Amino acid sequence: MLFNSLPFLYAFLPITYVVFWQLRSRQQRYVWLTLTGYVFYGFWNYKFCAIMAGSTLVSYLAGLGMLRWREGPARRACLVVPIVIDLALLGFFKYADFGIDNLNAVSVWLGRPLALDPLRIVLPIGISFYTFHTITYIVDSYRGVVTPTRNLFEFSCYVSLFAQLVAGPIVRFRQIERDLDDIDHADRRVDLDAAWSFFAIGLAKKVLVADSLARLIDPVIASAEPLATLDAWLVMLGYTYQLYFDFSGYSDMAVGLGLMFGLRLPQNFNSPYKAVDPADFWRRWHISLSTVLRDYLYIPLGGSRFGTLATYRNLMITMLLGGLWHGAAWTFVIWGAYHGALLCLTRAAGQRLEAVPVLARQVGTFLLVVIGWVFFRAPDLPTALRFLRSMLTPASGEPLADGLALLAALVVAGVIAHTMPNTFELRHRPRPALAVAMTGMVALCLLVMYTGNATPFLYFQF
Amino acid sequence: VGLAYLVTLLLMATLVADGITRALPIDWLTFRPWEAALQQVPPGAAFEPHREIDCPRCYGDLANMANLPRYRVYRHERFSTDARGYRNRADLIGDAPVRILLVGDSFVAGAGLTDADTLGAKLTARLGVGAYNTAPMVFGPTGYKSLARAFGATSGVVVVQHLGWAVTPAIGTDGDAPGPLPAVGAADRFRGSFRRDVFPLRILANQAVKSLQTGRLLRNPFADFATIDELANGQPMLFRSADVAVWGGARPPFDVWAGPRWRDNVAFYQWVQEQIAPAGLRLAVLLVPHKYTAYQPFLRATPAARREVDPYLPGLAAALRQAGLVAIDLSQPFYAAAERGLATGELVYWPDDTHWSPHGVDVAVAAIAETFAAHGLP
Repeated sequence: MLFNSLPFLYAFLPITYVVFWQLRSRQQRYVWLTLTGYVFYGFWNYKFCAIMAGSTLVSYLAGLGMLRWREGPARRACLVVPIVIDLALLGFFKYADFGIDNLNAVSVWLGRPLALDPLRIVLPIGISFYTFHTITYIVDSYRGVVTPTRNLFEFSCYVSLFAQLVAGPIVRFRQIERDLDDIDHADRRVDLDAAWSFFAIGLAKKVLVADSLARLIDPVIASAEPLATLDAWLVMLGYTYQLYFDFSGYSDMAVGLGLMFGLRLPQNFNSPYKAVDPADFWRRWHISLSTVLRDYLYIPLGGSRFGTLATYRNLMITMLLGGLWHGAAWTFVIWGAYHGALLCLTRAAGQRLEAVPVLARQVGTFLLVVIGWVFFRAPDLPTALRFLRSMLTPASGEPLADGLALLAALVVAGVIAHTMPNTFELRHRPRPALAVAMTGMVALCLLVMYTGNATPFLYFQF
Repeated sequence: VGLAYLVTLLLMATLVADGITRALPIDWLTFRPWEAALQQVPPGAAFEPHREIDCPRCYGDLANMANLPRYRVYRHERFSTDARGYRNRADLIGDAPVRILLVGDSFVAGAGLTDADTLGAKLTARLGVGAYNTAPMVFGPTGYKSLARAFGATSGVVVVQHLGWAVTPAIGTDGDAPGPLPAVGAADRFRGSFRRDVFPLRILANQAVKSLQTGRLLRNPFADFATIDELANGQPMLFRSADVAVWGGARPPFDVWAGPRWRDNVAFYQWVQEQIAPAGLRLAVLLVPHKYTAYQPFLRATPAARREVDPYLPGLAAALRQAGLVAIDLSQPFYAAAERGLATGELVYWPDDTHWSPHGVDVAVAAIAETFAAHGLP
């Protein structure tokens, strides 16, 4: 079920909301949110609910184990076993066919073809997100950062909370623990305007901006026709903004939905296209993922504590795995490596970057990010290289069918992304006139949704 | 008045509007009655039974599907269905005994035509016997026989329409015709809107978006559905691009595909004739050319070298006659009428539609009457 779908807005959300606020006790609300999370998830494929339930149960039991064993091998097992299970699930569902493809390719290269059949596994939606929820919970419990909960439904409500279940943000238990504990004291009216404000802005970002851009650029990217240099840049800029408005729109809606139930979800985007260098970009883009990678991978690897070379190595490992997390394809690995290299270069440049004017740094960072998105968007390496060739060398091709419309859409998206405050910087207590305008915006979104052409969020695939 | 209150109000208002309008017919939202009559079709029926739809400003399917408002030709259309869900109006058949069953697709059903201009109504008026319209339902010989029995006809003609290069069903394809059906209620309509995923607010939303996608403000993503052309006298004309691609584009050598199709088609129609003969019914195959094949020789842009007559239907007609079947080939009558129309402006097909015009039906009725007279039918 999509947030931008009529069944969600007219059935799932009102029922979930009304029943939730009728329930009084904490336990009832946990159970209800768990149940609705599974219903929400089951709409996509109910068979995979069992995997999520299994992952939840294993991590919950591990948490109980950590409460019992304060040290020693048993406690260590409570850390290792659930993480191994989660990573095995992720590895099997997400990377098994990728591994088989590469084994086949290597065996052909060695002259001993294996010709293994791919398993053609269906990727359970959101598995990358909820396994990270459970892993961060286990690690934080082990480190003593959080006290594991004894309440199964509190934990399952955290893992399966529909607002952040399938595409994040990756919420750490510690970030939501207090709100979960106070869920029976939440006041329905306190954040309701802010909740709808977040939701409305996110909906408009997705339905009006991202999907409009997608309609203009998707046919061009799907076609194998050669593109002129300028057109290739226009299309990739289109994707750059589409991805931002799509994913940040989803995150805004998730934050709004959380607030409707008294839960404050963290900020996931902080105007990333205003970043002044690649490191700054990663402090602003998909913040919940980049901080998880930092805290649970980069720093345990040693971070920047063991000299320059080790730092570069750790950055590259972190970004390569970050790239691979997004998808089982070499394009994602290259995208990760590219950003790893950019982070290393930024670090190497150090204070010297400060001498460059801020605007130039912003433009330079943005262009580097756009080039990176080529690998992120391309279905395969040859397509990515073809696109890059068109962008970076003088090329000619048929003019874009919707060139002017795309240009207009880019201007609108660019002005919003580069010059306006982001959703978290806005005041979410709109005055009546603004409230009416925002309601009009929601009406426009509904009009588009009623056409029946709702598209899934891009980050669902990860 | 906060945002939450306003958005909740908006959602509730649209939900109520959606719920209420789902129970209503969609006549007022469609560009022609056809779509409205197809919304709530009981099993076995062609259209919703007992329906009367009045559409004062209808226009053609090509202008609609290709989203070309400039090319719309507005006309008044009345669309009535009987108790079986077929397009027959009691007052048009009157007391005439039914001796002709009309079988076919949207042409025979009368897409784009008002009730009085349909093939059934005009044939009834011309021949003085009832011509019962069963299109666009495809059932089979069992259905033809049971309908003949229902009308008390011990003899008659089953006119089966065959459009262009259509492929007939496999031999043995059969089914019965429906009996009289009850009228559809508001509750059925409400439930049906969820099954079909077509409902008034969705139609309105799509119309609003399509009104911006006419190529002026936003690109028209539907434009490829139709090809815009012009007759030699300057009259604009829309064609289905798929037909233009088949007949106007590169084709395989004629014999390679036409021969096997002819054989299959003839074998099927022979089988139908064998099945219905015991009931005293005779089969007559009505061969209708596609709009593009009928008009291609008379288009301004067509080079003289490509002004050719489609040999497919004449070839099929000859093969059918050789097999002892009655065939009415409309190719030549339509070519002749199209050519005459260059001077008079009369068209055998609507300019904005895939289907024949009232004048086209007149030409067809004349050809059918002539063939029937020659064979002593019905």
